[in-house]
Amino acid sequence: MNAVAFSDSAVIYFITDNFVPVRVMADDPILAKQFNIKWTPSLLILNAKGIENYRTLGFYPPQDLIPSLLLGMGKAYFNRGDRPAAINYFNRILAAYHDNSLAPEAVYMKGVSNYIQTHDVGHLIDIYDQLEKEYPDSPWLTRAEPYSLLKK
Amino acid sequence: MSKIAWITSLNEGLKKAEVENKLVFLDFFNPN
Repeated sequence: MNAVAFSDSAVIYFITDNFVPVRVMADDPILAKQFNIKWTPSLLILNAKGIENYRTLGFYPPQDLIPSLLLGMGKAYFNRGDRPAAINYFNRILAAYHDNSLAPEAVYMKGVSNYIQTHDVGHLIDIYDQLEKEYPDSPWLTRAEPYSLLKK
Repeated sequence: MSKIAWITSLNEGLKKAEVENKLVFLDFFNPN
């Protein structure tokens, strides 16, 4: 991971601009146990209180790492209750990484965030419709299938 | 900027994140 993704200039700037980057040894006797680390690469996004909001396991090439981190940031703000900020991150994935494998999850999370904000079931229906149209082979379409029943 | 300026203490990183209103990106590094 260090040899490829973390030497990519776009990744370096993205992480430096958006995070406080912390690196500890994978066999750290306290932290590896605290975060249940069993394999590497394990990359975690924590809030400032040390609560885990997102985790990836396995190698991500540079072109996949940034959208993955955007998804993690969106989930962190979603968990914090800041839905507008979360939606902003999910939109950034859809705008800049539309064909990335994580984009369907961004569609789902964006729609859920919008629904929680507005209580408008149209946002749940939109999740299904967008996934059916743009990502018909994604498992996220299956997860959104109940929302298709909300159509009148 | 040629590399990431990693902090090697999680506690220090959490304090910095609080001050800068940022999230922490935590890498469990395996040199092997």
